[in-house]
Amino acid sequence: MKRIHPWLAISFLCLGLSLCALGALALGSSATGWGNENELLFLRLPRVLAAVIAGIALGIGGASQQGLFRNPLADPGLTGVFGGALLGIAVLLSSTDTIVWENPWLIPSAAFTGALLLSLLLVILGGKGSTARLLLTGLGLNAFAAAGTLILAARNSQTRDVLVSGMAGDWLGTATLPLIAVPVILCLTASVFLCLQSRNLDRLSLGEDVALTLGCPVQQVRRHSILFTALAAAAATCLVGQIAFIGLLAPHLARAILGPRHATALPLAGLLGGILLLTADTLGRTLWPQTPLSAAAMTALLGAPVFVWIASRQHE
Amino acid sequence: MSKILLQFKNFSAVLGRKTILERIQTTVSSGEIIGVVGANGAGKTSLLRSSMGLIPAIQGEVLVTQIPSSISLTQNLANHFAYAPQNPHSTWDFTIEELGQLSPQIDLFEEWTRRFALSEKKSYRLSALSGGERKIAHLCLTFSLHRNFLDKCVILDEPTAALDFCRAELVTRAIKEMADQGAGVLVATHDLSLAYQCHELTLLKAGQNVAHGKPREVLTPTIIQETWGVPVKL
Repeated sequence: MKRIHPWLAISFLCLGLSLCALGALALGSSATGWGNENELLFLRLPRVLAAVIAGIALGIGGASQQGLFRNPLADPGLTGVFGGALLGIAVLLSSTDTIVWENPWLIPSAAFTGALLLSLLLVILGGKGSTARLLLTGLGLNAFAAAGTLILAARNSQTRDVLVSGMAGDWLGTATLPLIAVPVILCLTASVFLCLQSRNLDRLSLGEDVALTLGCPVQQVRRHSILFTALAAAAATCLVGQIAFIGLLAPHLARAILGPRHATALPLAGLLGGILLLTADTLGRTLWPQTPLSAAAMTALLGAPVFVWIASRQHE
Repeated sequence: MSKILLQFKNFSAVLGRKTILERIQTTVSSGEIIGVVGANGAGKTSLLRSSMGLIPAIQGEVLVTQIPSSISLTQNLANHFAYAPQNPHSTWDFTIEELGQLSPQIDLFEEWTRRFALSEKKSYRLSALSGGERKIAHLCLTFSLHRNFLDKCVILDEPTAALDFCRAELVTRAIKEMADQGAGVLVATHDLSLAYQCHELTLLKAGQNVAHGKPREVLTPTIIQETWGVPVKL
């Protein structure tokens, strides 16, 4: 089968992402058009930026986790890494008062700690074995993290609203430039470092023994991938909240378009993730301005049918 | 005098509570093809994997004379070994061409695909190939790991299983060529024609090295009946 040239696909998607971003900036709840300067700069721009960057990190993070676990169904949303990030934030919010909002590094650090702990538990408990074992372990850990988050949320009415909307993937609406600056930088850093692993992730797909003879430093690759997937997931959680599907859908689409090599699949998954999350968020806030839908709900609504379609094609 | 590349010294290993290899003594020298034979589950694959340091010893050791003991073996597998597992598997559905891009020497991979009559299918995905073709594609990757096999250890787990007669013969020839270049080949096999091409055979039974020697000394009716439990005439 003839595949599309990688640069053509990547340029095309870059263009698509830029057009989506322009469209999202032009669409607002008050009126169509650029609106006034304040609305554009302080409401729409941070939100669009956060959605694009989080989407990129989610796409690349999902593809990397699938490569690391050699499992096409691994996704930080399903394997509990997002749950861990949110639990980290919940622990921080419930243990201190309003000070956390003053230091922009505190919340991302808490999210990263939670995500990394959950990832390590996942590797220890479910990393070696079948697809089913990994996913079931992930679901268990995710449920455990969600329970922890809910318990912590219930103890304080102020943090409860924040955490519950985080669990629903509804934080994009609160984006302001100072609040998103650090997570955006972390998302981009993690994405770049994950993309640098692409050749080794390809080799890892042949099994650890063969990968070693191909010159893949397996242990180092595992450490890097776990670390930076946790960072990508944690930083994306700080921007959006908990959001499944993008980390699963974007890499599947990317592989269907350009084939399974990570050198092309990772960047493409990032671009697709950005487009998906931005489109979902923009539609969610503009279709029904009176009762906006969260990005997570729209993503699932858009993503689920496409995912089922891909799954049915793969079994032919 | 050929150089010793791999040396099992009284090597024992366990998996859980079960002893999978017991007091193995074998050497592989450059230019030599050592066959590992035995019934299913006798420990052939474990022996191959432990030669690469992938199974820890509970007793004895495996010496790879090309690598000083201060340096980790697993970090040096790429420089000194080539390995083909029994059932090669890839998580992602690469094309043969993409599989070749994982090799450090893509040109060698392409040469091997031509030799094994696979180059016409290079744009095929692995899932679209037959089991034997897939096996050959992975063998091409293994054989392309080194430009010169002098003093390299080549570890092959049933390389001719699932192959047609013609390709099995091509693979057997390739193995002999690598040995002629100076490789030490350790090959597990059930293929008698390949076994008879080995310089020496090691017969495993329940993790123990029960016979060792020239193929005609090891594959005798008496030993075969003792090991496999079936009477044969040769």
